[in-house]
Amino acid sequence: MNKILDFLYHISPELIAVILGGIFIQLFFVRRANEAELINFLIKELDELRTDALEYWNLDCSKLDQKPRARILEQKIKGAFKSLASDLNHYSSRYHKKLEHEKLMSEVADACTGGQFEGATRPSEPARYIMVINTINRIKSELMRRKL
Amino acid sequence: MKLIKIAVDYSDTPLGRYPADGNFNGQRFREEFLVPALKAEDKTVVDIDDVEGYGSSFLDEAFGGLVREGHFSSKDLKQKLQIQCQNSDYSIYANLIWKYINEARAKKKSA
Repeated sequence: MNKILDFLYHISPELIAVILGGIFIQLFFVRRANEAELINFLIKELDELRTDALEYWNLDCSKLDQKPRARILEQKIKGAFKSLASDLNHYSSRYHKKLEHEKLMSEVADACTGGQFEGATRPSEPARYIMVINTINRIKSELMRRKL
Repeated sequence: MKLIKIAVDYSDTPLGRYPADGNFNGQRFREEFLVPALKAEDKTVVDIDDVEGYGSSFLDEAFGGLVREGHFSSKDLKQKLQIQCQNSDYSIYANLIWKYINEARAKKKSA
């Protein structure tokens, strides 16, 4: 019994160091995994916003049959943008990472909700597709860089 | 000083640019709320919290339109107008408002 206690006494500093090291490594990887999961969620939100925005700008509001769908998409897009801005703020403060997301998000706002957005007789605007795609892809790239 | 809380004094669901787009459009907000307040008071505070969401079209027409329509210069607005938000989720909209005010000035100069 004494031999076991003596053995434990001698290895205890190393044992504690290994346990503490393990805990810190675990915390680090859990944090990285949580961050990656949040980034995946943000990217999913961006993809949904892109899909809705592309469909919206493809609709012609001067045609009666397309108006109801446009009205729904307008609210979806505004809601998605607000939620995304809030989630990016949370990401930035939670992980203390300085994203240039406000500048990028203002570009997204212009592309998705600028021009004749919510216009009563807005025609289809295919020229906006590339703006929507490019601005959203810029934020996605920025987020992917943080993840890797 | 005049305080305008958009969600209470105007609508919590503002939308569109022009009267044809809906009752609570950007042009009406500018002409009926912003311009009279900015002309009458030294300082006008616009509280943008608690609105369900803004479209850039509404913000650009309401605030950028102040400069585009020749009511004020962007320099005047920096002194007379304050955009207020307690909720940090709305800070993006405050930035957009100042962006549209500044861009409207740039458009006027280049025209």
